[in-house]
Amino acid sequence: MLSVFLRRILSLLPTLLIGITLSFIIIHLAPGDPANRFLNPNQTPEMQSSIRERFGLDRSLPVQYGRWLKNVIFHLDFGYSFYSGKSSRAVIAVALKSTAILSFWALVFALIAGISLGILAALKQNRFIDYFCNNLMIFFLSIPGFWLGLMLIGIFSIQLSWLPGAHLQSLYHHQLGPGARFWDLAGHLILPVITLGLPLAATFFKYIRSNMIETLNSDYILAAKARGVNRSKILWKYALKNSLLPIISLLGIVIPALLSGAVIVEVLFALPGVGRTMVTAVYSRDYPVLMAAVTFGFIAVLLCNLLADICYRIVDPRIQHSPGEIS
Amino acid sequence: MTFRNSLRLHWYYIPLIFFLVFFSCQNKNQHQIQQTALYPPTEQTEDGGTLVVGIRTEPETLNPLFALSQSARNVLGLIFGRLADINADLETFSPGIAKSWEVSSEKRQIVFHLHQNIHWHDGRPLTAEDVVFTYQMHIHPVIAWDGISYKQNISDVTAPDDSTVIFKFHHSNHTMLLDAVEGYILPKHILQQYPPEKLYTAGFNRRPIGSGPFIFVEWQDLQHIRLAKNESYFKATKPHLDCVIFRIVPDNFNLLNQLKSGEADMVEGIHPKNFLAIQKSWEAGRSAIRPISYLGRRYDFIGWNLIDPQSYAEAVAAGATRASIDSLIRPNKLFGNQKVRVALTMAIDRQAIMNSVNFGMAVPLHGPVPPILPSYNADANIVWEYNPGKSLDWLAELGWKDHDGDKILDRDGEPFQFEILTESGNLHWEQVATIVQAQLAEIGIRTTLRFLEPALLYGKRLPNREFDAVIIGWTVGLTPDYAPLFHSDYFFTPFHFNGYYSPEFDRLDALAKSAPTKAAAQRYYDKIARLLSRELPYTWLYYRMECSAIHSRFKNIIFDKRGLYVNLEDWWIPQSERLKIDRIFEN
Repeated sequence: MLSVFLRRILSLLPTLLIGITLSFIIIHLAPGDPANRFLNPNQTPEMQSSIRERFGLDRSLPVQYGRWLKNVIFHLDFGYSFYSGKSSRAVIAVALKSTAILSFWALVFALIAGISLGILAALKQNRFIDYFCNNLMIFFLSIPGFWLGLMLIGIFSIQLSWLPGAHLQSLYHHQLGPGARFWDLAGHLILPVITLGLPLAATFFKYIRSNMIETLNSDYILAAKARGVNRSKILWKYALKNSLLPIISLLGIVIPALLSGAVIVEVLFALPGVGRTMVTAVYSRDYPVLMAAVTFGFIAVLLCNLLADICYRIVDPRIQHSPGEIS
Repeated sequence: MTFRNSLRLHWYYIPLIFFLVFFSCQNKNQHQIQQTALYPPTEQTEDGGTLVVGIRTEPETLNPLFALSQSARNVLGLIFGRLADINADLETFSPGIAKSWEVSSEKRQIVFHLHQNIHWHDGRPLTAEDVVFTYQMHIHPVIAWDGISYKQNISDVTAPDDSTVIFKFHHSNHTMLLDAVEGYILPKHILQQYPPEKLYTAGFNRRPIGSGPFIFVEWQDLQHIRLAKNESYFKATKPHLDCVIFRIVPDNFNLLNQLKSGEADMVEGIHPKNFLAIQKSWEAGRSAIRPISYLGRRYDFIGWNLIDPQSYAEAVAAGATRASIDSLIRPNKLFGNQKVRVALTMAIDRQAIMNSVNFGMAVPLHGPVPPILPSYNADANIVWEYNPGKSLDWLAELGWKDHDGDKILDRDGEPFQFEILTESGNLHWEQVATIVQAQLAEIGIRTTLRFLEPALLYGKRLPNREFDAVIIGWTVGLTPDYAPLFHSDYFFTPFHFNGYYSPEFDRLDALAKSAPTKAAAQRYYDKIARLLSRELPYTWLYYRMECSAIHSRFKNIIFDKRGLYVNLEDWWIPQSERLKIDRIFEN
């Protein structure tokens, strides 16, 4: 398994390199010059060239790319933000922490809600609870994330004043004890987690429900029933296990989507995440931060897919590898 | 706060352009200091309390040498100090770090005497050496400070002793004092550790040490910036508040909700519709959020492209200079004619646009001089009132009629049609563009709207003159300069995007700037206003009111055209009105 893992990692490197190279070119070819932010009618040519030199924009694109790539590979240095002067790596590291917290809990929420309701609907197929869950999940799948977020803020933050509608923590967070800090953070996360997680829960629900129904009607389940195997054993050991397999593949796709979906939620709830950082970087043509974010994004997508593949092989013994196989 | 010099393109969130000038002539009839106190200043004050300001954009840096955004400037004004602070009349100054100053008899030198009890927030004394160092940073080409034009007339700055600074000037003019005091004083003992080329990435930019009324405490990325009262502030009894927090909330809806729920005490730039709702609640006694509106710094306009884009591109490729403008650049086939611009202006109901888009929170504008300036003279402008019938007559005189009965004006078989650009994502301008399109359609002019990404609009289409008409806005400084927008010296710069060229404007601008007295300069500025409002390189739409709101527990608030932060060190909160947040950060 380890050799498979290592081979897969190595096979991902060219993909990563091609991806970030294309991104670098596209970002730099987009209209708009980062130095224009400093444009001033009274600037002398020396000042203008000084600003371009400050950001390395006085070099040709291949030279800029070569220097950038070298610094990334040998020093993990993505350069300094054109916008704030901060290290791009530090900017992304801080933002990544927030996005990771949000995405993780959104995923946990989506898995719990989606799987449990999916099982329930499958067991109660064509009954009221099934129709109700189905329609509810279609509703959550259909509505735009920003609208859902606005509604949640309007109801729970403004009308009822139950939950905070913005930020990751209270202004007085640092004055709280450890327990209170946890609850402060949890309180701030509830609405954004629900906003981000509900559409995902609906996706899981649809998969689980249809897989469970299909599995429960399959021959081997019927055979188990005929042999008098315990109903709960059939359900939890045989049916659910097989129904969950596609979810693992799905995770490889939805986790990166979760990160991109976090953009709207982060802006709406004023969370300090990667999505919001990227939006600011795009508007200000902050190439170093943008490239750092894109690189981390690529790595996240590739790793998630890799992990999904590996998990799939772990839980499904039918998938075997020949020594040279890399699927 | 920027007083002068900075015409700048911001293509993210706030697409504004700052411009400035020199000048400060005045019309005595118009020269009134409009300053409003929400509560009359009182002798009685109580220390303590917290102000939470909701802001949309995070400051990019807290180093005054590199800060460009308004949010950064608002924070910096509380952390750092200037030698002197401009007063509401925009002509006189109050002592700041300098307790007094005198101008030499030949008027080419100003001697500043500094307060001797001012300390940096790290405890080191602020001396004249810091002032000299600050000047050296301001003019350093590697720093490329955006206010450098203030310093162009200064020949030398010296510090004969720790509390005296001498500014010497190349020549005498009426902006010498403004030139000398512009820019926050920086701590030499900290910044000299960095070579100038490394200053842009210095840690100081995120953890500044200043000498102002508030000390920097913490900056949580994309969350908030917290400042605390400077207990050693040289104005012994100030500030009164213990803490000022800038909370960053990028979404307008949520920012407004923060204000309503009490999580933010003050928000600026509220949409007029929401502002009127706040006003209604306040007047009905249902809310503690007090609305504040005043003439701000922004106006919106339609910029017509006066030149032929193709000839401009050819001229630039051929290395055209100012001298070859006439010979190489052709006028625009539609808007090169002043009568067309006037006819289009008369076809646009600007009052209706103001009412529907700004909900009345704007005032008419007919010329280049913003109404907040002492030099504003409403009578100097030629006013082209809404008159679609007259507009059609003017166009008919030029041959534009509906010859083929398709309800579109045409001439020589060519329909009167053009494209209007504006910035995508700016709902305000998109709405204005839509209304303008409908109004022009009523007189038979066909327009197409195109909403462009800011970098494409400001970075390519406007600088390359690849447009017909554009709807955008300027933000004005307290001493605006019209030259970057209309003077032929700037013809090939991005700011001079519509290609206006007039020897008469150039002459008047030069005369105004060299006028010996402010009264004399005012005559020329009135002529400039008359010239531009007659020629209409822009159709000025309206001048916006700033819509802000603040919790009513804050007292002693004064606001005027300099903004809402003018006297924040004087704000205080009565004990009886304090909230939980006021006690959390008590000193």
